[in-house]
Parts: sequence; structure tokens; C-alpha cells
Amino acid sequence: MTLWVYGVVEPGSQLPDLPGVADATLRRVDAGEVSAVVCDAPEDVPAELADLLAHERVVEALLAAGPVLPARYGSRLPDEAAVVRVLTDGRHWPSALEQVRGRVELAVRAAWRGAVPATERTQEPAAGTGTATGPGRAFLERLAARSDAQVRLRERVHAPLAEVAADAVWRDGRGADESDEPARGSYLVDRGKVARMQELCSSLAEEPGLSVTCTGPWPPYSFSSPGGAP
Amino acid sequence: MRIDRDTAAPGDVALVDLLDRLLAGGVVLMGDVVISLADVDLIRVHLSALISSVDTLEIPSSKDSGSA
Repeated sequence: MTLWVYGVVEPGSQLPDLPGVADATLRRVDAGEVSAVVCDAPEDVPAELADLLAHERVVEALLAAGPVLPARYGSRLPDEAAVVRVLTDGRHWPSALEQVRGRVELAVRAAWRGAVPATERTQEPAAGTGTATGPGRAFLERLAARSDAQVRLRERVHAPLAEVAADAVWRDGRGADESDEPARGSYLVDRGKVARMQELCSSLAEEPGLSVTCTGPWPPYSFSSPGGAP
Repeated sequence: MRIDRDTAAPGDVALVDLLDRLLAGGVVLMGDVVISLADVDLIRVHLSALISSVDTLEIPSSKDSGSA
């Protein structure tokens, strides 16, 4: 029977008193140093919001009880033997679990509100660097401005947040302002530092030139991959 | 767990962040991607259609911890 996987936890962890996706019963597969929480999988990967929330509910209950490496939604394995094989494949599952112990994830989206403030812009290129004018040069200058805006955003938002986090991932956005895709940061944060991170985000969000949102705490989806090769 | 959207955030930011985590985050158990890109896009499109206005996304759990 195909198994739906919620995440990897400490061996012998207690199962949450919750139904799984498609109302299946949760169970645990022990594999020595770590365990996986699973249930019988539905035939296809369900795509209703209620199903995603059911998965998330289980992962959050696991998080409330101890460290968890959340599995990607829709993760399935053929059977319990396959689960054991994966969990003993030589990747560093136990240390990955240790890395997220007592920690949660905060998700940040950031963009410049309106044009990048003058104080944030780099120097103008020296005059006389070329005689080309017209749409080609204008295009390149726009590209340079957008990439510069993203560098500035990373310095302005990501740098101070990464200081407080145990680990962090940043993905540049597109464009020079909030009309395009925002930059996204994910931060692995000690529970005791969550309030401080949220305060930092709030003060960044209050700046008129910046658009910053912060959601969470989330289970550490962005920090759940074990190192090592299988 | 309550996911409160920032006052500056659009209504569905919490939901988008949920999708980002569940569909693009999380450990991939085996070498190959379990959900194909097409499936992910389908899920996103389907869920976008379900989003009306989400102020707070409350995920009820068996015990109400009040904080994560």
C-alpha cells in the first residue's frame, strides 16, 4: 500500500491525535535513528485546500512535540520497506533533525515600495563611458537598475534578519519595485528569537520605502533536507 | 496555529506562503521529484481559484497551544 509521508521525526515519537490526508490513520515507521510519520496514501495527490491544510495540521502537531523534517506535500513511497530504505540511505537524517530542534521557520517577502530611494541607489556610471544611446542602452540601464535594486533589498532586509537566524535562504525578486515578483527569505529561527525577528520585520515594514511581510512560525520546510549523499 | 497576515500584506499572502512551503519546500525523499511541475502548477491554479479573502488562516489542532 502506497504511503503518504508527513515528515521525519525522532524515533518513537508520539503520533498526533489527528486524521491524516483523506482521513487516513497516522502511523509511524521506525528506522533506527529516525522515524517517519505516514498514512495510507489516497489514489492521487489531492489538490483541495482542505487536503493541504490536513497535511499542514499534522506537521504542525509534530512540530509542537519535537523536531520534524517536513516532507514535501505529496511525498509518497511504495511501502514501509521503502521508507526504511530512504531513512537509512546514508544521508545525515539525525543531524538534520538536530539542526531544526527548537527552531521554526519565518517566511518574508520584500520589495521596494515605489522607486528605490535615492539614498539606496549606487553611483551613476561615469560620464563618457560610451556614446551609445537609444533603446538598447536604456534596456541595459533598466536591467542594471533592477539588479541593483535587488542587491540593495538583500542588504536592507535579508542581512539583518539573517543575523538573528540560525540559517537563512534568500531568493532575489524581479524588478525594481513591488509591481513584480518580491524577493523571498526563509529563516530558521530559535523559538526564543521569533518575537525579535517579528519585531525586526515590523520595523522594516513600517519604512515607507519598503514593502515587507512576514508569516509564520512555520515548520522548517525550507531547512529539512539532510546533507550527505544517498 | 494562527497565521496572521501582516497588515501590509495582500489577503492571500499567508496562503501563498503555505503553498511555497508545502509545494516547493519540504524534503524530497527520493531522488526524483514526486510531484511533477505540471501537478504543482495545477495545484496552484486550483487553489488560487479557491482564494477569496483570507485575513487569518486558522489551522485547528488537537491542542490549542496559542503559540508555536
